[in-house]
Amino acid sequence: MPRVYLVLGLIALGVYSWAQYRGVGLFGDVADSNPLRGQGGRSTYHK
Amino acid sequence: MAKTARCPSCGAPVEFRSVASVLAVCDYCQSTLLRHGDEVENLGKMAALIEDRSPLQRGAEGRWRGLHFALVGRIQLRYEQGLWNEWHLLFNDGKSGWISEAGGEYVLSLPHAVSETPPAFADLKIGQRHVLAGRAFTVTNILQAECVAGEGELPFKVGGGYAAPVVDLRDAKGGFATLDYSEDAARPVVFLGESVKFKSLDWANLRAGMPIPEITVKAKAFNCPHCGSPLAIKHENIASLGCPGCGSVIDTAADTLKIIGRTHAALEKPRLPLGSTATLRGEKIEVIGYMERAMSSDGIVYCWGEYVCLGKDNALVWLTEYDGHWNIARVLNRSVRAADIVRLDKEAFKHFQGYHAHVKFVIGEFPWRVRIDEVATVDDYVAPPRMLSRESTDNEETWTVAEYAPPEEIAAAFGIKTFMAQPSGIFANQPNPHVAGHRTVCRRFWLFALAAGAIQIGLLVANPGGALLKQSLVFDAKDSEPVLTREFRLAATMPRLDVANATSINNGWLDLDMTLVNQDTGDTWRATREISHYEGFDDGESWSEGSRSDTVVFRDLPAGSYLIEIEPEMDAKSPPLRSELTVRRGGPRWSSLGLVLGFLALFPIGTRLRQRGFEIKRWAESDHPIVSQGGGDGGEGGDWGSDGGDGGGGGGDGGGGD
Repeated sequence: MPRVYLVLGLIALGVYSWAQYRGVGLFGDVADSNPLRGQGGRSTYHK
Repeated sequence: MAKTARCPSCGAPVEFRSVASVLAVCDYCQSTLLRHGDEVENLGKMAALIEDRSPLQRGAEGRWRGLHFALVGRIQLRYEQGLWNEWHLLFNDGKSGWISEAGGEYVLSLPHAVSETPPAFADLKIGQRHVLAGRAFTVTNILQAECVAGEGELPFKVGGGYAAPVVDLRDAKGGFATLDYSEDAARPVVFLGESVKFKSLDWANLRAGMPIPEITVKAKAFNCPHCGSPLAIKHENIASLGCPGCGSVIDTAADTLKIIGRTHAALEKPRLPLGSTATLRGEKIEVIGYMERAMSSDGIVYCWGEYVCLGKDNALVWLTEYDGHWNIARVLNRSVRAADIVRLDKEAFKHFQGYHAHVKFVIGEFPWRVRIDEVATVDDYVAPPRMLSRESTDNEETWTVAEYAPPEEIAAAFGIKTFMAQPSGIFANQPNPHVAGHRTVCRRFWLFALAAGAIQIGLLVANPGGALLKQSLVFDAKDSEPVLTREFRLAATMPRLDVANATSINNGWLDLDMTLVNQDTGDTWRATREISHYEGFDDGESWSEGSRSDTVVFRDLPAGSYLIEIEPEMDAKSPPLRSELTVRRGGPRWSSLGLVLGFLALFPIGTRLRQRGFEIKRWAESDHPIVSQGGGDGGEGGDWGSDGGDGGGGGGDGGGGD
């Protein structure tokens, strides 16, 4: 059990660290709208 | 200064080395001589001593606490359990004392005047506490002994058949006291001393150096008086022997063999053969006897085996076995105060169970007179892997401390290669196998929690989150121009950017076509959001649907200057809608920290439950079962503290004489 816990704990910490850095959360969260990235051609941006 | 007199019977010289000696036995004709000043009176022949295999003899010398002494006399006494010797010793400073030799234990004591008034013999009971010379003692033995014979110099008049009521007491530190009521049943002579290891007295002139006395039948081979089976006594100080053929118990201390009991129970072969030797935990032991004992609880009879072994310096070691569970036990040479929780060597032993144990049968040699019908009251206390047992009869109280031994250890020590029964169930003092694992898991949990906390704080410092832009916007259906926000800057790559709109929608809808623009590079990110909220009142109940606010997440944004262009779409009849726009950096979330800690905590909770489950099973058959009511700490019997045990037959101790 302690060895299994060590492995799972390290994995959990790794996932937690990545999620916190990426800002990925589980609770009360938001839908990602899959924003599209592209070059803009609208003249209004360059006012 | 020694005085020498002439024996009136044979003329041989009789020496009185001690001024305290009032009686001497002539070594040549066994006349008992009572000294009156310089004269001696012949009281008649002293009874013959019973041959034993004591290593001591008159003339042996030793040293105690730096003081040299010599053995000048002996009294041999008999009691219910057998024989013992009281050796009269003379110190170099002229003081005299006694060494008691019984069952392999040696106690040195000196006469002591005490200010307290000891109780009368008739008022004494086993387990009573009395203060003598300012020290607290507990009554452990009440003996109606009888003098068998004496030799050498003695400080009082004694002879064969003289009554010798004595009471032994012990304190918690190995101290010893004897109250001798031989002279006066109401006012005893008090002796105080201590239990000593034989070799610690630096002996010289021991009996081994003298010619060995002639061997008699009772000392060696003979046949069982009942069934005729060949029997033999191979060890010193054996008081009784159990016949493996018929279960008779034979008194071997008397001049003639006498059967003192016989079992009607079926005899079973012990797992460890008599005579087998082993090195167990660094000590060489030999099995000399085996007894099977039993107790009953709720109509069920539980049996267990107890092996009498001789260890270092012929000290007794007990091996007990019940259902595959083994214990190594030794008699404690001090008294312990009985209570629900008993403290010994700074360890707390909790009461596990009390019961009455009786002997079913015995096989082999025993240094005390075993009684088949003897019933003892036993109380077991546990602090796994140790167990403390208190065994008491009307006349004696003995404490034994035992330590659990796995069957593999016993098998390895005795070289047993055949199958040794695996333990069944959980024994009273069996170590909890989950304790070490739980401790490791707890330790690792706290390390993980510390690491998670450090990561959270590190990320908060590096990427603290917080609002980059807050702006109030107005969306009007009549306005066809897109709404532009103020500029905001990202100093570094942003893994997550939250754009939230908190609107004033009331029973309407609003679509927002948002474009996030990097003004430095011209890159854009689009997101379309639909926000709607409706509410009403129906049949006396209010209802609502949708949400007035919305948040969209943009990911992996490079550094740069940004603004957001929003093209709203709404019902043409809708009034202008306000929206509080917030652009926020996505920092570390506290909910995620709680989640990971919750996950990590599942394991120590699981191991704790497993540990507790073991304890619940342990205590299930004790006198204090754990009752799970959601309260109480883990792993305890009833309202006790930590580890407990399971019963079914007791037998963690060495029963019978000490």
